[in-house]
Amino acid sequence: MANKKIFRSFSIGLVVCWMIAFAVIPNILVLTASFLSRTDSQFLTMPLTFDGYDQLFTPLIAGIVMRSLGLACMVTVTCLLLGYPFAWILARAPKKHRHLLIVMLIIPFWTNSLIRTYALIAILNTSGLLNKALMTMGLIETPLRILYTKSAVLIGLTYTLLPFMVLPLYAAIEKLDPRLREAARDLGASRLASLLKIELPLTQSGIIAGSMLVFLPALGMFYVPDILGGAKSVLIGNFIRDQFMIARNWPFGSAASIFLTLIMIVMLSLYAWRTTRTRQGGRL
Amino acid sequence: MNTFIKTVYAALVYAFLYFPLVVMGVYSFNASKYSIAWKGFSTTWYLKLLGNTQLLDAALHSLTIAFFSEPWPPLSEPLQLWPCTATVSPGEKSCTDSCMS
Repeated sequence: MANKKIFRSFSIGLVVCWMIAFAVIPNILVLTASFLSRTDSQFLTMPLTFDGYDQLFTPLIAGIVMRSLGLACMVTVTCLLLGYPFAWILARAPKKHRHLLIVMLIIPFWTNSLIRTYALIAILNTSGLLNKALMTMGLIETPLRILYTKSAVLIGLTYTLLPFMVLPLYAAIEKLDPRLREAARDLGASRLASLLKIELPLTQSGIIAGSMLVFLPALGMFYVPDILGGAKSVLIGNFIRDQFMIARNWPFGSAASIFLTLIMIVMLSLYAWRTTRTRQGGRL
Repeated sequence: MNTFIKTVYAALVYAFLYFPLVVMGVYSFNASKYSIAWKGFSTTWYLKLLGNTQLLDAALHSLTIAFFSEPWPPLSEPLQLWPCTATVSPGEKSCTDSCMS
């Protein structure tokens, strides 16, 4: 018995050590770096300042942050609108097909998302496949300019993150008892009423979890706006990358990174607060 | 009709997910160096890939890293399965089976 306990604490301890070494300490380093200053010869030097944070609260950065949050919201809503009916179809598909359908959702991940983003260029290009197809069908006269616009970034992020929305939704919908809907319909609820009062509230956990899994990466993914958005649309993820790799202003980049982390912490806390509240509500 | 719409919708979403992959696969046979125009079928890039030892080395490194970052079975399996195997009584289907399958 004692042996088992030792083994268990050893295996948990191993993971804890790993997380401390590769998650906690790097974050502390970033936090420290955000308060340091920089000179021409050194990336990080001693006088502790709030300069990084001072630079953060300027109209330029506020614009970048607002644009990033807005785009992340749009991506989340698009994924939700696209993914909710889709997850519903998957969850109510014949049981023998369900497994295959889920695996098919995961297979695109086997290809690097950077390469898949490049493939989107070939499709969205002004002389690309999408424009050629639309022009052959006679739907448009002149090619649409999609690539290197905000829509291209929206399409790219939706494309990359859609499975992250569908999987939690699927898990929530599959658990939902179909008889609840039948009961609601029997008692005279319209389709819309049953959707609003039964299905949506009961799959709320999946909706929130999926939205988190889409919203947070959408804020940080810098290569999709880089490849598809051109130079015009700097988002917070690109901005942090540029501060480290190009401008070499590590304190400023660290401060921006800490700011982004704070936004995420606030959202995750809201999520945690919400789920504990609904769970308590369910118990009553 | 309803099932028809559902099937079409699911097919469209899958098409959205798979179309770029198909495009990438098809364009790998493109004779042109850039993905913008189709310049005819060729297997140049595959031959170049086989001749490029540096790239093949890099692929081998990636595979090695992926193999070792996958929890190494002799070490990790006992760690993961310890709580499962310990609590299962004989004859009962242990959760080890479901973990392994």
